[in-house]
Amino acid sequence: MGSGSLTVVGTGIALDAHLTTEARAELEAADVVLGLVADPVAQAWLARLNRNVRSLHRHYREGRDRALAYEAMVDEILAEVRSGKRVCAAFYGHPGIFVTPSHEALRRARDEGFPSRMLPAVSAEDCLFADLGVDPAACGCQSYEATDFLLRRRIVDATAALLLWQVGTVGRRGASGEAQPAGLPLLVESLLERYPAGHEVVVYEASPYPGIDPIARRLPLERLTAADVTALSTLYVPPLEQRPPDATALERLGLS
Amino acid sequence: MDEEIDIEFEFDFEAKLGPLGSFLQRLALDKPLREEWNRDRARAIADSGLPAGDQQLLLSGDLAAIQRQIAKESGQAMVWICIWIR
Repeated sequence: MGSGSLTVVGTGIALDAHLTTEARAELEAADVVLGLVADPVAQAWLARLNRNVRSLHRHYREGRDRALAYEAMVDEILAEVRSGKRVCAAFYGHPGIFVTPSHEALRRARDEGFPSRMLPAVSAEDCLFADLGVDPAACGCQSYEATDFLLRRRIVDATAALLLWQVGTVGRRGASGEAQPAGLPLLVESLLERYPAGHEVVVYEASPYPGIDPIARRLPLERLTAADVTALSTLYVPPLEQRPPDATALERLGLS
Repeated sequence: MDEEIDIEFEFDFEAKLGPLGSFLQRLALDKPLREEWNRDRARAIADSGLPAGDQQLLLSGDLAAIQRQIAKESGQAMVWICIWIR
């Protein structure tokens, strides 16, 4: 047994098709893999890579504050590291994007002097850009967690694209097994202050299975209801008209 | 504050996938099968040996319905990863 280390990896969205060579090597070499993936197929696939794999899902409880679940996950990861094992924590998608326990586990492991690192991976946002044919450089792109967007009244530039994550749980703090977007009417109301009622939005969910198409439901903003979203939905709001270039900036940059 | 009730989201790594879940895992790992799927999806589905209902789901391409069936046949929950907003 070594002196303990932590590597946090992402499994990507679509099983083997998205797993990086680097992440695979870590998963296969670890003494223990602590996994948090999104569905039974991914779980079974992960177990093929390392026999000593354990799920972190048991820390979720229906209705339990997610903060408590994440604290318990971090404790479990750190306990294995402290026991001297080479630990690999594997999270669905990119392990550093919208994953609270991965960052916290790394921070604590580093504070305690254990070798620790995070490896990049394919995120749901990467899939969205590919599936919807959106280039975030074309008009700029804003990205917010849906509940955070409402709570902090985030400022939106409607001439840039807007991505709102976790609309399937907007307004909820607890864990749930299905979409429960209690705050969706308020979210739509907030967006209607900035966009026309008929502005087409896309309810998107990346496909976790190679060969199966993603969900991309296009509808006018004013018609968006809870029936349209799944637990994993992201809302893509396309930009309005392109913002014209600033004449002064053009001149000062010598681009006019 | 949401009420906490004692339902665990437990994934059992030893649990067997059902027919549809197993087929989709094979589709991810088996290159010849994936090539057949990409070339002629209807034929790949017809040759899959899956029950008629599962074949219909694959033909429909309805991701949400496919996910529900996989969860149902494996007896496990679908769980997503979320961030906690402070």
